[in-house]
Amino acid sequence: MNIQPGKLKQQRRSAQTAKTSLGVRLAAVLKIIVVFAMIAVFCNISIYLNQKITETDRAIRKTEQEIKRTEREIAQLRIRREQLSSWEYIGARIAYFKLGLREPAPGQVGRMALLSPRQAQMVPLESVASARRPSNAGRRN
Amino acid sequence: MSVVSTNDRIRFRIRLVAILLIPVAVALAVRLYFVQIVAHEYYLDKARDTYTTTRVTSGKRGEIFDVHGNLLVSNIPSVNITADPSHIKNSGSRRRLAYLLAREFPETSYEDFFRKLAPTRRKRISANDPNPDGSGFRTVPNTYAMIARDVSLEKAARLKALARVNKFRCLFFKDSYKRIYPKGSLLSNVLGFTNIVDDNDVAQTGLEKFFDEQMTAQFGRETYERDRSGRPLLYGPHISQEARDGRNIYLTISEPIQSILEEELDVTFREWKPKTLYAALVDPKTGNVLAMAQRPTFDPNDRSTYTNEAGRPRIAEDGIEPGSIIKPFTIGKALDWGYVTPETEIDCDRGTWIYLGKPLRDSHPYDKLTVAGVIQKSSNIGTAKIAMLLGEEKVYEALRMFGFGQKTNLPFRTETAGYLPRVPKWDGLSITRFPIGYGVRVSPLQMLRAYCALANNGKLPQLRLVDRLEDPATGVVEQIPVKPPVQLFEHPECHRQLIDMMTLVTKKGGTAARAALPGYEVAGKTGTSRKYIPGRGYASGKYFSSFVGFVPARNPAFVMLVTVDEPHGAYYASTVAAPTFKRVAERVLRHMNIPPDPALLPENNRTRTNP
Repeated sequence: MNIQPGKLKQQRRSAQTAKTSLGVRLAAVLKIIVVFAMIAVFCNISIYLNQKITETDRAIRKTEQEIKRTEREIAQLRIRREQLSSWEYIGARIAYFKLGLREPAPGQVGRMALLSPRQAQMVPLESVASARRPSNAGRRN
Repeated sequence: MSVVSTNDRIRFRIRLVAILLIPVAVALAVRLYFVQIVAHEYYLDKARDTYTTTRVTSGKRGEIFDVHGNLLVSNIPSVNITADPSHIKNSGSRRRLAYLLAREFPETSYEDFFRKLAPTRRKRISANDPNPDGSGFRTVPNTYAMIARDVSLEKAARLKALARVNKFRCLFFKDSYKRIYPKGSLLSNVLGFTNIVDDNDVAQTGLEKFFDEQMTAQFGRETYERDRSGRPLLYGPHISQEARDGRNIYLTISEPIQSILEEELDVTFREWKPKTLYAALVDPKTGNVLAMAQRPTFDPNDRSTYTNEAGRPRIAEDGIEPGSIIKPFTIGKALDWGYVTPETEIDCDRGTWIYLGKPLRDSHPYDKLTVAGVIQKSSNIGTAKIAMLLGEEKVYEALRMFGFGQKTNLPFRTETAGYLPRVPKWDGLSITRFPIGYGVRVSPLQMLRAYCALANNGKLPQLRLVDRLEDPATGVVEQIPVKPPVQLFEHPECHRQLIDMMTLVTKKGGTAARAALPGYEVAGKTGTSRKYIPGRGYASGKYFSSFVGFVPARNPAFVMLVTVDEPHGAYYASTVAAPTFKRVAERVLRHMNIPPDPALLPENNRTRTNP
């Protein structure tokens, strides 16, 4: 609230006299330019960031769609794999190519398991000694 | 004359404008107050309704796996293609699009597509609407036409590209899933199938129906503010309730064993051309059903192959008179309770025994047989006389103990409990007929369960078809609880004696020598029973031929039952069912990597006897 209007009016009048010089005017103009420039910069930054956000958002959506599409393709391939690995299909292929394959006799079956180092520690060494690989003590066949 | 200065005129105009503007400003302020303060919520809700949208998402129906995690039922990604024919520019475009679609989907004709793509359609006018021409219909733009459901991803992609090139903007591609049975007819009677109703899978039969509640996916709901083109805004509320996939089911079935069983049943079906044929394998120690198959069957991916008879799980639903395969239970308990020993001699009356004026016959005449011989030769008279020693109450107790007349509680909605009447309902002949498998009705599954008790050191297990349920989102697994097996034999040595007798069945002189496997001891029992047709009695020339057995007899890997309904060409179980058992057992033992006992191999026996 202005409580000393008379005094201020006096001061303003004296200041006006002082600012009549060119330098003072330029300084004022410069200040205005700086203020406008800052506003412009802020506006630009804001627009730039908004644009970036929109672009990123668009990219995210595109990637999401791509992920969804890939997941659907994976699901389809998984089912295809199951169909191709079914006994019926394999049997039909064996017959088609006349491979004459038959199930092995029980004595002919060997089983192999890849163990984690932790599991391997629990397996008696003598049972796997012959198959142990020197370069990888943890993994046994 | 008053002088009006310019200033006065200006002042007057200002006042005039002020007088005009102030009420407008006041009115605006009042309106602003009303809109912003009084009716704020109303307009906010209205605005929200306009730019907020809710999208319903659906999860996938649960899948079914075998015990090893092999996929048996799944959902394959597919695309539903629809069109908005009102967007088709002209008749030429309509013709071109119809031609394109007819080429891609040959099952629908060009004319059908052309008709579907009509830009307008007739809509029935409701009673309250004006009806200018009196036809009861009015013409409206046709905005929806279903082009094709469950189109494969490749085909949909190809069509999408074609639509883009040809600038058909009226086609819409909606992602969906289709229920698929990757293994075709494998286990189809048990798995069942679903139908599509309003874009949802609706379970119809089998496990699909039994576990429908667990396998059904829960819908999700996504609420968000959208821009003009429907895309979600970055800011603003985004409420999302995720859709949940249905739970997966893991069966006790082993796909390789199931495949072996189905292949061999096909061979038997071709050879004997029976009306029906079913078989199952169970692990007697756990009660886990390893395989279960029947013929005829159907492919759930191709509904044209479906018939009611092929679709229903007859192995659980059919109650049959089992014939001789039920004999070991009465005899086994007679041994256990001390009424007979394996050496006790039974007079078999040279093949015909008259009791209460009714004859009971054996397939071959025997004078006297030991109890072991009664099992080996499958003597009806011998078994009936042993049952007479026990009395009605004990025979009923023995049969009831092995689970006859009680459901197995496997997940079949229409499983039969069979028929084993209480003693007061028995007539005088029942005691001679029930123990040989006539007059009682038993489902093949009940018979398998009972044989599991014989194979499992006298302990009756609970049969299991479903091992566990799994929530695919959280990985939480719910094991299906199992009741501990019940010991049925008081004297283990009696149980062993019974197994010894049953191994004689597949040896030389037994009724099922064709079920014998080189290198393995097979315990089993044949059963050939005349087919009872309700209301008409026993049908002439129609038989059930069954073989139940387990192998290796001393430490069984599985119990298997084969039942052939109305075989053509032969009907004795030893000829029809036993060879099927042998073929399946041979392959399954190989698959399970159970080596033969060298001492039982014929070449080793020859070496020992002829050094």
